[in-house]
Amino acid sequence: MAIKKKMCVNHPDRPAIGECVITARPICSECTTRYEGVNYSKEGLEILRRRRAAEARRSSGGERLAAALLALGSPLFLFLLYLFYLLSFEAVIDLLQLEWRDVFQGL
Amino acid sequence: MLPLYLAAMAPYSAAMLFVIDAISTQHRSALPFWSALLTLATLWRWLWLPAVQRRVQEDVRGEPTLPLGKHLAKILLIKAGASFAILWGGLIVIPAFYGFFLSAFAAPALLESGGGMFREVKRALLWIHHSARRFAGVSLALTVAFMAAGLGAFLLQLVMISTLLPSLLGLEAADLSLTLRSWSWFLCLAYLLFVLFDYYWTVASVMVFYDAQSRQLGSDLRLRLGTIQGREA
Repeated sequence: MAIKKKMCVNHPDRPAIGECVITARPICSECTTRYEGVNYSKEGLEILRRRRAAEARRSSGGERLAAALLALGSPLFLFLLYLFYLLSFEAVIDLLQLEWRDVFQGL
Repeated sequence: MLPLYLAAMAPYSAAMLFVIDAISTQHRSALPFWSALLTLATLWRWLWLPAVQRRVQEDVRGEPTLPLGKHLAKILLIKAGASFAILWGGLIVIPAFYGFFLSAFAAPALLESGGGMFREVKRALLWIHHSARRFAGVSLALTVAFMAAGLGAFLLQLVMISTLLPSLLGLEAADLSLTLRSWSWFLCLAYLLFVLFDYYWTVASVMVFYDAQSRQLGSDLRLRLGTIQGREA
């Protein structure tokens, strides 16, 4: 079976050197931009740029949310942590004050 | 890594020594103050531990991770939630189990992918859930090693007081024996062991994270070969 030669989608007279990883359209050397080790067409690069911008927006939104939650929740959390420490240490003192010999004799 | 870890633990250890002193002298009125100080020292510790894990992660990857400062708020939030599960859900075991691993994975997960906080938490919880049996083994091994180290230290000091110092070296060990039998010494020893294991876990947790990742993503070659061989058999 003969191998069909692919031609550039923008320049039908030129052979394609590869496909855009986003649009999957064949592109020639002039239409190819190599970025992060892979080939992109002009349209593919634009789609990638939009995707990255959307990801960055989502990420910064998450960061803002995390910072807000941290600011609002941290006093309550620190108080609960403090309470846990205090109650645990009080319990340890109670344990140390026990007369262990009497406890075992009681059993 | 060690200087970073020491920077993380210095205020915590200082506060803990005062707490141990208050406990062993049964000085209840001092506990609220030292507990408050220990709470702040815990916050300081959480600010620094991700930096230690990041250093380990960079060694494992062989390239820099994402910047820590940008993700610190998210890491702290996950750690806070996980610690809440460990401390207040400890009696039911399961929340503490998930919390223990989630707290350890927070920094490596966010510095690896830089994704959203909720997505990373969900993914980490799924990994923990899928590897629950192996992770239970890890927890059990750590607990047994901790107890064995404690027992070893106890036996070593017993041998030192009863045999080595008086018989072999001819030293009077009565005062030393009194110190070693006190609660303050026991609590200090337990804390020292905790610090050693905490340092070990801080480093090892990054490896466990990458192990869980490779198993879940199917990039663990040994596991893939095993699956293929199993399928062929």
